[in-house]
Amino acid sequence: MVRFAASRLVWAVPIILVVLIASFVLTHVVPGDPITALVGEYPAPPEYVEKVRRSFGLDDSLAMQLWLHLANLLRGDLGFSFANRQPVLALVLDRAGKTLLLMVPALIASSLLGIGLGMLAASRRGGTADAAVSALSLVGYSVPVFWLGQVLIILFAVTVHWLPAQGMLSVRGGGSGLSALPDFFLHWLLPGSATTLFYAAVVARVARASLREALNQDFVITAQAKGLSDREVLWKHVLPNALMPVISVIGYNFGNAITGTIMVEAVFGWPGIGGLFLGSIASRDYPVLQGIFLLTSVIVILANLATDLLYVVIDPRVRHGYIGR
Amino acid sequence: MTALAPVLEVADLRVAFRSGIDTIAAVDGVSLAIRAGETVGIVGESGSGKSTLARALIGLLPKGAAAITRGDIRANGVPVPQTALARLRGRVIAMVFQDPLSYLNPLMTAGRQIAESVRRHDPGAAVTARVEELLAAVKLPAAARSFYPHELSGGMRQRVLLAIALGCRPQLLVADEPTTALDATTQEEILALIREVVGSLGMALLLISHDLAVVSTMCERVHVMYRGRLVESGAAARIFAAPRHPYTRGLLNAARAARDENGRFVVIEGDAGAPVERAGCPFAIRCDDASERCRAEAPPAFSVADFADHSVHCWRVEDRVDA
Amino acid sequence: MAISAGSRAWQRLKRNPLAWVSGGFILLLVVIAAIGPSLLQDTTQSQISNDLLSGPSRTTLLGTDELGRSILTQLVYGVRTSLLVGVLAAASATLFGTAIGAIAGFSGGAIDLVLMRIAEVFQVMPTFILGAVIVALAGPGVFRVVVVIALLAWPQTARVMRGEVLRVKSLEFVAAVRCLGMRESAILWSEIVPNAIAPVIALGTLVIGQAILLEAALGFFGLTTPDVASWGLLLNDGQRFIRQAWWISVFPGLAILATVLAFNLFGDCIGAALNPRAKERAA
Repeated sequence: MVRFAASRLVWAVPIILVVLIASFVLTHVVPGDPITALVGEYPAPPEYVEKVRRSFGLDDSLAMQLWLHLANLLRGDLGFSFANRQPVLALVLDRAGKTLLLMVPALIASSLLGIGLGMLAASRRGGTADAAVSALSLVGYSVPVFWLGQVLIILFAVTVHWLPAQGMLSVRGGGSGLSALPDFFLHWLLPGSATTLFYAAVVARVARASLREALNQDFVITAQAKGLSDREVLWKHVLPNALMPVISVIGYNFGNAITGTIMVEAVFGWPGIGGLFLGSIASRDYPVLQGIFLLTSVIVILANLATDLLYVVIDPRVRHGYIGR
Repeated sequence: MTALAPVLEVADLRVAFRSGIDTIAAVDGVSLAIRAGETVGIVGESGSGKSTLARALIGLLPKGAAAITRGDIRANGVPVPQTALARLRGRVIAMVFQDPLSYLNPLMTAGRQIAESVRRHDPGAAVTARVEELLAAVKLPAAARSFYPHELSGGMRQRVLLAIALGCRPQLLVADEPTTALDATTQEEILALIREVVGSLGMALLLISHDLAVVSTMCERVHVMYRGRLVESGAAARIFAAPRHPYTRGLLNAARAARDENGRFVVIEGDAGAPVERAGCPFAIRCDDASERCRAEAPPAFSVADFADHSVHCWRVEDRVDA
Repeated sequence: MAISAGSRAWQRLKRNPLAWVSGGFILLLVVIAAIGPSLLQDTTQSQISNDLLSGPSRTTLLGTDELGRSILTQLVYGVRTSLLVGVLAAASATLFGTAIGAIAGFSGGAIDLVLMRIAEVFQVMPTFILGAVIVALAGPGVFRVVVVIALLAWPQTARVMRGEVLRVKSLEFVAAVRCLGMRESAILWSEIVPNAIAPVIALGTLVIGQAILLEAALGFFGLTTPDVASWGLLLNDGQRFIRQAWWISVFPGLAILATVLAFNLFGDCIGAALNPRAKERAA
């Protein structure tokens, strides 16, 4: 078990490295002066431009540039955003916190919803519930999540003024700390629902298939033949075996979750990475864009790693290196 | 002088499968009785309905696809309606299955799976102690309880399945092809184990197999099934010594690799055919001896002269006597 | 062996009503893409009018945008872009992924390890973000978008192909053909790949859907060329006027949804035709 975990950890490092190198390639492969990619098109003081030129070794050889680029990144120096008047790393991390506030509750909600729908569909196989869940998850899988957000705005904020269409907290302030919670919740409801519905479709699809398969397994018969109640069989035998593909899909599709959340943020003006992303595209603030790219890639790598390790913990067959079922 | 009611009594049982718009009878009018401590075998090829019968007894037919459409089941003399068959699970009837790897939950240790039986059927018992006792009964070391199914060998897994069944303290142990997935040596060991355990605990045994040799060594009484119906029933020794039904005779010839006067293997011609309903004897199309009556009318049970407990479903048996 | 399995699957596919619905819709889209724009060119609908931001009505059908252009016309022009990007991106990703996956699965060992690690790197980078960064840095362009999508979608295909090749190469007929003295590369490309390709085709339609969604996302973020009609661009427009003109957002989104849904559904039908799942357990 330790060996497996260690090997996965070890592999994560070179992959992160390659992603860092990829950002280097980005700045140099795209047409234009690399300095533009490193500073952005937002007006920056010439002393800064000179400093960047030197610290990234743009007058030196390509190898030296790569080395310096990596060194800077690893030191945490992702550049400075003049449009936002903050160092990029600090800026991105700060915004990331607000993104998490949107994403985490949505992920939890969508996992529960997806698994619940999967259970509903699998227990009534061939029935209307089964077909409905199947159809709904196919639609959810095909819908552009940002459009879903727009539709929710049109329905609940424009046509009827039930919920706010923009932002995370009211400008007039609902207080701070815990007293801001109801205000936050109202603001979270629409963007959160968009993200939840989108993601729940993916989870439901996998949950339905894996629950169906788990229900068809022979050991379910053994459990029933023992005289266990249907509920016991479901919770102790079927679910644990059905859960693994679901966890796998949630963990290995983390990139999609992040991307979806970012898109929803753009639609709702949520003050997270999505909003920063949109704004930086408009102001040509390339270091911020690169920083977002690096951060999200690293998060995906870590999410993959976490899922691998989770697999080891949950499935004794993986733990013992047993291949095949 | 009152004889105890049989542990299990099945009367004219019919199990139908729905496939699209067709209904197919996997079990068609089977009647049998198993008394306490008896060892009974059911022999048949695949498709004969023997496994369906076993599953039907404890209400484990796939919901929606199959159901009991006729017949009664009685446990210890008490009739059990179809909806209540689940109550028989474990306490009255415990089952052991064919492929121990797929029939064990891969995420649970052997000990935990055995403990589930114990907790369900032995409330108040010291679980750990009982699990160890059961492991010992199936000749596994106590340490086996912390192993996962994939870490055990095929034979060991089958012993675990047996321990799970024993943990229910059943009156009847149903073993559905318990050794088919095992290699020859292990087969012997497992069969011997079952024989020993059943004997010492005074349980009844229903052994289901396509393998005549297995059934002949383990069972006092044998039922031969073909396409959902019983064709011959009686004491094992007698059936194997002097089979009456053409199908049984064919099976025995095949098992003994018997040869005819030209040195060729004696075979049963043809095959079982599509699973559609057919009037008459199910074996008629393959039988050398079939008559018009055989094809038109399904033969009821006949006793064989002098042996009241030996019944045959055949029009062509000479010394048959109306049952 | 490949032929009979394929024709059986084809039969199953033909029997599936959902396959007809989704396939029919896709065909309709192709027809619209081909002749739609030329049909609309002469009508007054395609021009900027004075009818600004008006809702759906009998004259303006799906409404107009802030320049008075008909939404319906823009939708029709957009079909071409979406299909082109979708199919090109999916085709390149599939081609490339199939090749890499086949080589990885067949060679095994170090080559397999290296190729799959490379695939992992590409899979880890979030597609949309990378695409947006590249387009932001290098400027918009339809083919750039196609390349980016293909670059990030090939790992899925490669993995599936590799899995299939691994399965097929251990089948007996491969050993038989080897005994006949067939060259390794010939074995791979003319014997193994045709038998392994089926799931990749189903995956291909899913990739088309992903590509269309991605192209729409890039359009929504203002990262596509404004002179090419794009459903995503319409949504970007819609965002600006979301309070006054809901139709600019709703109809293009529905178009995207319907198109991607059709491809996904068709892909599912292909998948089902290739792997008819066993019915209920028969005892």
